[in-house]
Amino acid sequence: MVSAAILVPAATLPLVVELATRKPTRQQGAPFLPPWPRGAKPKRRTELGLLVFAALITVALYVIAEVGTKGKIPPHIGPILGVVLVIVLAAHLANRWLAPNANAVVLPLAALLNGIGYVEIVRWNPADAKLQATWAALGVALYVLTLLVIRRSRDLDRYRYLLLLFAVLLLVAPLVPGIGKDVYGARLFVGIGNTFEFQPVELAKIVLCIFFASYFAEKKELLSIPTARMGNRLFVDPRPMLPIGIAWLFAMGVIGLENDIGFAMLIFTMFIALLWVTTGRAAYLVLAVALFIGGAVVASHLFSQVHERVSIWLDPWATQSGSGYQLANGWYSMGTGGVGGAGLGLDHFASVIPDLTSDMIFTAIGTDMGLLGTSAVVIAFTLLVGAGLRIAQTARSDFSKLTATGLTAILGFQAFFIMAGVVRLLPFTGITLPFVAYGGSSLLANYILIALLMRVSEEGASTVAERASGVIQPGETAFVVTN
Amino acid sequence: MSRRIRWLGAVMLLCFALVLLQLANVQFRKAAALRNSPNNPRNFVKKFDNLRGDILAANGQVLAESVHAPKGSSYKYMRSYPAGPLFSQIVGINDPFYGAYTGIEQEYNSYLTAHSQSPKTLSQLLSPPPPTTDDVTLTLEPYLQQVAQQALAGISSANKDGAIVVLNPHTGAVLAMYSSPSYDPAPLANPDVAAEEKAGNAVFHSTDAEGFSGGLPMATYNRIFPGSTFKIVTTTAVYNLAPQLANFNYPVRPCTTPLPNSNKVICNDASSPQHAVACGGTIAQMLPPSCDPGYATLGMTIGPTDMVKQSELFGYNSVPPIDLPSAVSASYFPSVTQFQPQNLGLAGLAYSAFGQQNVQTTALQNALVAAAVANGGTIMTPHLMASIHDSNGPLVKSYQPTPWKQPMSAATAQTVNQLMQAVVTTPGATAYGVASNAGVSLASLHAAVKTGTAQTGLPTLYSIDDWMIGFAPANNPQVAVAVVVPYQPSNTYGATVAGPIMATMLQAALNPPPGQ
Repeated sequence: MVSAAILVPAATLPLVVELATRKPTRQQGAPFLPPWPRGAKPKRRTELGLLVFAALITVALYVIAEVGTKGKIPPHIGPILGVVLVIVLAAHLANRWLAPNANAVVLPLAALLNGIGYVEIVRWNPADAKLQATWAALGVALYVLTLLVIRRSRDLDRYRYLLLLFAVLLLVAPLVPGIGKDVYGARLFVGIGNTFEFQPVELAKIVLCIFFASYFAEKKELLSIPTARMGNRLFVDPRPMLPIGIAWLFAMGVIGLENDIGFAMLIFTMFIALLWVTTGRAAYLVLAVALFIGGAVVASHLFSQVHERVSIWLDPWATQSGSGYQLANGWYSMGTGGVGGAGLGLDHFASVIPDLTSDMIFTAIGTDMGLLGTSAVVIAFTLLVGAGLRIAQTARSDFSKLTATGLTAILGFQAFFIMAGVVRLLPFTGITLPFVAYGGSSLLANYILIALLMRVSEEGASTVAERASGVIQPGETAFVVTN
Repeated sequence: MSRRIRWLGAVMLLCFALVLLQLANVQFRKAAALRNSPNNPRNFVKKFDNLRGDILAANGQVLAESVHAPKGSSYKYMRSYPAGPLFSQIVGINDPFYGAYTGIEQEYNSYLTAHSQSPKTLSQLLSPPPPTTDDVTLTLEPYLQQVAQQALAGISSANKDGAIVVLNPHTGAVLAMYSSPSYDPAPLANPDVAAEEKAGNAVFHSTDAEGFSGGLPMATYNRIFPGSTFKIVTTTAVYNLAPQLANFNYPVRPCTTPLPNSNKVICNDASSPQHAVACGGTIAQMLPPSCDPGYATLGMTIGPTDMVKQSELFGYNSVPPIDLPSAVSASYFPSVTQFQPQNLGLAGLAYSAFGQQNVQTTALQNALVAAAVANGGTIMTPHLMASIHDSNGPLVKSYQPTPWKQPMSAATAQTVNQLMQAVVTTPGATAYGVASNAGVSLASLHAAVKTGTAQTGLPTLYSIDDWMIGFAPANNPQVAVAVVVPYQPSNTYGATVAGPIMATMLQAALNPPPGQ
């Protein structure tokens, strides 16, 4: 039996070895640990201010929630503020060192969302809070490590098929008997005993995104320019679509086997978004929509779970003491929260909602902080998506542009799917609200995700600076091609 | 590519805008409706979260009170039942899952919950007083209740199910009413709704091996064959409705002649003539030894019309108007048409006359039969509430005794009273020599009783329903009691199982401990 602990490092080992021994490809004279960059870093100054602001908001919300639940100001406010500041400042210092010119709002937005989520978890599920804090600290550590190890995005481009293999292993791991675990009818987790559980699809979404970006960047022309002739009409040659189509179908199939509709939808959407951004061919979009509708119809007939979710989505009130209980009570809670919220720590009844601090955490925010709180979260995600797409616009290569686009699409659509599920714009799918919901795998993966965004952002910002000074890196497109 | 990234951004912006719109819909436009929906658990629970009045026993002992819920609970208050299983079947429960579900909690809910006070002074008329709760004091005597619980627990056979009802025959006040099995109300006062539902399923939707449920008190809910205790009704019918039969004289013999339209015979305390002891004579001679064939014949002589009339005068086929909201059953006596030849026939009436086969009664109804004789022929409405006080002290309401049924004249009651005394005092009578486990005899208590030993006909060892009903002291009755102990071994009698319990209950009721 292969354990996940061996499986995961085994897949990453070649990558790690390559990255550690890539001396020949490095610029002449560049040390392994980069030097502290000199000069003014205006982006970082903005970031520092925003981070301190996010930390203060988090601690203030924490104090209010504690006063609400326990009726007294919690002891150790100082140390708690200290710990939060240490964590965000560690990430900030890493940015100053490893990505001095990168985007200034990505990290503060992530920290704010993480902080709001943490306060809700402390308030509704205090037993889980310590673990979530540990995951957040580990997430920031992984953020720093990612910035340190992936110093140039094109490094990732070079290990395209290795990454695909890694993604496949991650996706298949939950199906391996012995390490896969059923949680709420979906086979999403790997774990050894009850001590260590991991949801590999959270990491797989990033790895798959990088693979798709890499493949699309290389095959961009083949995929978009009609070269195949049929009669007197020209068509896009379908052959380059074949390998990636297989990879994509495989991913969808495996996630389908694992009964994880949320992630299947997410990977589907990210793939289609990348394909369209790469090629600009509306035919792909039409095909995708047709595929999606066909797939949804088939799935709702084949799988009782899908059918049930659709009926709960359309009318949770009909089954509000049964399968519709979660959503119906979510609405009662959010309605009770109203515009201003019931007040942090003052409502007692949202605790009846299953998975309140994971899948349904958006409801907890709506209950405690009302429309103001939920809107703040939606706006934070909008800003995060905006920052991500700006990063994509300024990226220096097609690959890094598509990577940033894909990663942003993942972050944005994941947030959209779960928020839309809670407010019943879409059928409810059990995926986590990035940075906010309880869950170690999700938090770690999303910190890696924004580290990669920051890496692309740093390169783009440097490109602008280098363009101004006339320096062009060999093998890279200095000027952004717009088409 | 940049242009399409902008388009992607526009699509995602639209997505988030839709979420915001829908949020405004849920949290602003529909917020009030959702907040006030009866299905919102906040509203569902609100009415059970208030301070409620206390429920007290006759001596002031607290049976139910509102206490502060533990910290971190969703509730401010929860219900506490310090008396536990001893009173749970009467007090009932009030909890977030079931609400004010059973017993006094439901019956007097409008008093127990906070309600507005009517103004009593001019200044109160101008500024209405704040809402108040009322405390309900019951007629139950905790020491009697406890004696009843211990008496049933002391039954010698393995099955200790049973019910005891002790009444004041002159007022209808229920002094004790205990049934085994009972249930512990503590898990049902749990503020955790899910735990409550689970505990409630165990109480209200499960039964013991004999089919009795703690959630449904046997004393008022379960109808059991009354056996020979029903002879009191038959005897009353003679003196009350058919006085020409007062000198009915049944030949001394072990069995009846074959019943009409049937080849069956009814034998005295046996299934066959060989084992039956011959009995007979006048009614006064037949009641003390409980002569089954004589009463069977007597019942057929009285006829269906008068038998049905007399049993319904005692309260059969109506629900006793006791102040309990649920789990009170009407006792059953067949209608006149059912004694027509195509149905049960007169043979059926023969069995009914001594309480077998088609007559079923609750312990409460049988206690009311005894009480009717004890109270000079009038059945007072049985009741549990003695008084209701405002939590601040003033009396809101006190119970005024009212008659329920008038099954016989005072003279008839006097005659039946004497016959019931004979059941204790006549050598060879069924209750002659019966004493409590502590050695107090029915005779020394001047009790008047009737035994009942009903064959359920079940092919099991535990096939006998043992009964005793009665009152004491016979010349000035203070208490009327019914004891039923169903599904006892086939070699037992009402006198051997229910008899000692009756003596124990009468002794306790007539000699209350000091201070009660």
